[in-house]
Amino acid sequence: MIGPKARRWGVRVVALACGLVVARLFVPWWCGRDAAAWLRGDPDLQHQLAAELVAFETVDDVHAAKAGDRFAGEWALVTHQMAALGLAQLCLAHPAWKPELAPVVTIAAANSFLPEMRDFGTRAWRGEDAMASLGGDHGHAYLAYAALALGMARLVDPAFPPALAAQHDALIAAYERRLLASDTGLIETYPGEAYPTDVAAVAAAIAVHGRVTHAPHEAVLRRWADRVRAVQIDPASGLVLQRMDARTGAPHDAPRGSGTGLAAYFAGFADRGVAELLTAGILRQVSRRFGFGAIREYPEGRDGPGDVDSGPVLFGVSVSATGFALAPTRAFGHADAFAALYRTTDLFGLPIADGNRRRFSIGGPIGNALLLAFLTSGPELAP
Amino acid sequence: MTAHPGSRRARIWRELKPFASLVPGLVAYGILRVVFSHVVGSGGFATPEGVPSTGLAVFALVMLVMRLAVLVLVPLIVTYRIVRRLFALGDRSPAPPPSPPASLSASPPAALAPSPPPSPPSPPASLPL
Repeated sequence: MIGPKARRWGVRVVALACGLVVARLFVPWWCGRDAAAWLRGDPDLQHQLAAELVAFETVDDVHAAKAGDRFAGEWALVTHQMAALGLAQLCLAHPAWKPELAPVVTIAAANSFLPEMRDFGTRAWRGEDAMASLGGDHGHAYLAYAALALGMARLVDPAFPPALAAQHDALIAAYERRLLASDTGLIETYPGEAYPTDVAAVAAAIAVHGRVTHAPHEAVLRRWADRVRAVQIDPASGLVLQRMDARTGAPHDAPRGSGTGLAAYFAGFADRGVAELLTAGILRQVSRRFGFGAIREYPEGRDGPGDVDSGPVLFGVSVSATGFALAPTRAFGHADAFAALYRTTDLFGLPIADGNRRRFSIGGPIGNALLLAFLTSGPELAP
Repeated sequence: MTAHPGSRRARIWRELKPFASLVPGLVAYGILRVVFSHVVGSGGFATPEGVPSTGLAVFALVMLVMRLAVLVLVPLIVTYRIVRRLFALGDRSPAPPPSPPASLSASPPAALAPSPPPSPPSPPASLPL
């Protein structure tokens, strides 16, 4: 016979166990309640986040001269680029939205191409501006981010300025020539440093340019894809090496999740096979706890610190890689992984609806631009 | 026959009272969430130059901790109290009536049987976590 005290404690233990089970189910459900809507492309959610970026680009366009104060260097470039890509993807997914969004795509892409946005690259190349040295052999691969945005703007905006299109054509021609001349399929971002992720952006920019102008870029894209498979992917982990020597292909860093996640997104514009290969690598890095997912920055058996690419690395998982991986998991329909990653994004992003706009409070313009591009990834995939 | 509206309200309040202690926390979280979204606005929490200010960093950390606490603790506490209440109700439910004696047919009709004395009112439920 159980005494009243033991029974009271038994009831408490059962009640606590039930509470823990419900909390375990409730928290991931609550944080993931928009995941399915993002995955299927819910127009309301997409339009609300797009409205946040439209407002940012419209205001920032007025104050473009101040861009260097607040959104300096790579962050400013990536913010405008990702806003352009996300909005352009929505134009492809919902052609009826083109009249509203396509002009903003062009604004965002043009902002990413402003000389002050690439000051950091010009400084790294000791004063050599990328657009003033198109005939040279220096890679300047960082500008491919803007080139890709310009390409997507040309794809969706019939009113794209012809003068900007001419500069875009010249930049793509320079990239194509440099990439064809490289044995490793790499071109430099900064002196002596090549990043496979940046080169994936170069390939994406070339591919989209081909879609816009019907210029034949198949040879260079095939060569890039071959070199990625042969040189840039670590066979043990399936991840791309974060940093390499452009000439010899020697690794200068470990294979990492953040580089691979973003490279998978960019590769999708150029070559589905490469993108799927990189997605398989990133899926091996998914770490799941209590229904939440995150991407481990380093492969099994390796460890390292976080940096500007990975963001903070906490318990081995990377903030940036977790966000980047949303794009390939959505684009290639890995629903479980997408939902797990989205729950983490929702938990720490503090999403909020504000009238007809929606934003992730923590992320700011760069976070919202990245998430718009990644949460709507799919329509940009190479045919 | 329907229950008296006053007594029904009292019974509902008695059942909900243990959960009332959660309300101030939820309201405080809701208010802070609105304030945070207005303070941070569209500018976000992080910039290329780092965190805008120590105060904002602390505010963001408090928001994240509160969000985690609300998401985990509210369903946990609500479930805990509901389960304990269900056990308590189970304890109070009357035992099943004994099998009728064989001489039931000889007993007087139920309407004529003396009614049992009324049970004393049960004390208000108090189910601390």
